[in-house]
Amino acid sequence: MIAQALADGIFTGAIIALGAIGVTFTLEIMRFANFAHGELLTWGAYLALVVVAFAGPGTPTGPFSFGWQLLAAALVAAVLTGLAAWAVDTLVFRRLRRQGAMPLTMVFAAFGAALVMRHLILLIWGPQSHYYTRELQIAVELLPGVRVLPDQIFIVGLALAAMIALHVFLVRSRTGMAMRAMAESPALAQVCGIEVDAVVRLTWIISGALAAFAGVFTGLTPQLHPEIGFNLLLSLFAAAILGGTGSLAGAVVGGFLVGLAENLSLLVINPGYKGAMPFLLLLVILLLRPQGIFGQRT
Amino acid sequence: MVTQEPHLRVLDLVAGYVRGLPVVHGLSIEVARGEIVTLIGPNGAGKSTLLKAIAGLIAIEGGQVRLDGRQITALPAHQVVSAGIGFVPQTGNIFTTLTVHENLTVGAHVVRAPLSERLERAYALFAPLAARRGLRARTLSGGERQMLAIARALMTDPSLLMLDEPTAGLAPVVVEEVFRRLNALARAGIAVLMVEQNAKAALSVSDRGYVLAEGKNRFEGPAAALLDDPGVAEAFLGGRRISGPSG
Repeated sequence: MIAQALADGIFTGAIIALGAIGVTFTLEIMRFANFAHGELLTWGAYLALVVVAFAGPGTPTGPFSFGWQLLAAALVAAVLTGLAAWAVDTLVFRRLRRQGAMPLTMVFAAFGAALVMRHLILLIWGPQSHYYTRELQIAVELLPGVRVLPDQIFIVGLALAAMIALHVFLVRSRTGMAMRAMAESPALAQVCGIEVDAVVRLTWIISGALAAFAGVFTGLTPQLHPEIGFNLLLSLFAAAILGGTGSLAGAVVGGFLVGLAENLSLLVINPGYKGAMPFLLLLVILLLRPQGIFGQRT
Repeated sequence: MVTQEPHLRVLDLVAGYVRGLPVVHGLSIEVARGEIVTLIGPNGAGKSTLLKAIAGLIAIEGGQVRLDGRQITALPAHQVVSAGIGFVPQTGNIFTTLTVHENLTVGAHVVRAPLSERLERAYALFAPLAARRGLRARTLSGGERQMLAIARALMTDPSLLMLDEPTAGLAPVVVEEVFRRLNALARAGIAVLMVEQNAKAALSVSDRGYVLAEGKNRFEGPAAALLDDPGVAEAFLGGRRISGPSG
């Protein structure tokens, strides 16, 4: 039972980590809590659905329920969601930043943006569930007593690959260094000749792209509905805060820990309370270690 | 004789943090290549504001900034860097979460060419940094941090280096070291403009100085003359602060 919960936790954790990276980046570089981030997951999932509607999910390849078309759809959705995130910033958040808006103003603006984004999905695709593929998958027994879907293994692998690629980019590339510099001090970054708007744009594109992956992965196991992103929002914030908001590693470790905690808790509590878990976690984290695992107490 | 256009010319500059409430009211200064110019004056005189305005970090409401005859008034900060101005702010002038090497690399952000040569030159010029290139900048001592901040600003090969209180909080030996290095940079042909609380020491290594008060020029002249001026000495070089002629 515990082993199964651990496996499920790792799977949920990979998706939460992908979303939490974007939340952390927004907190660090744009310096506000983007409560519309969950909607980027939803938009990513639905944009991939559009591509799948045209190209089909593809013939199932190997043990997986989808073919290369779905992966191509996820990539297209990642690019489009990245651009959408930047567009929302240009339309809403940047204007407020330029006026020197208070953090609370940004929070309310983000809630407003989230409502509009979610209801646009409802308007276009309706409240019903959608599926990328109708293929049935049989869980494989990975270890004795641990059953997972091949799709889930694939998703965890792809998520980890994306995180490693991002890490290499941040550490090795000059653009990645500029992003880390901006996160520490926008004023000094400007003095170094870094164009703030360019870093902000790139940050949105990366955050949106990772959110789209998280959305597609959520939609693949097993369905899409207009609230898949919103339902994950608290978990994303719990992960970002637990990690200590500030580093990629923090968001990733935070994501996996929140995923594990949510699934392990089901062993002892009624699954009906699952929705309360992220709340509870957030409370416990803020009480015990508000600066997060990797954060420094100031 | 034709007067040559100085390297940096600031004319009647009006600037501040909030539009309509300027801190600097019509300041004019000049800095030639190879020259060290120091700005002194009481707190709130507009010294730091002037540097930030030149660097493109705050809004300029009037007047002009020209570098080598080229208008750079109110260019965005990253274009000011490309134009050839290096700036070492007073506080938060290094990225503490980045390594020494990354700080220097980020300092050269506007340089598109490979950086290995520039990096090696920086390490040759500031030897203590070479041994610490892989360490996070937060582990450096105060003197090393200031070295890193200056080395970082030099990564773009600026023709004008601006420093806001480069010796604040440093031990006397390190202060001397910083001034010695600025002297060497000026002899290499860079124009150096600095703001200093440590006015006596700064003027003694400077060619010229400006005394600012309430956002305006009060005195200017060769550094030696300012050091000898009894009025300047009393007001700004360790004497008590005097108020303006009317008060």
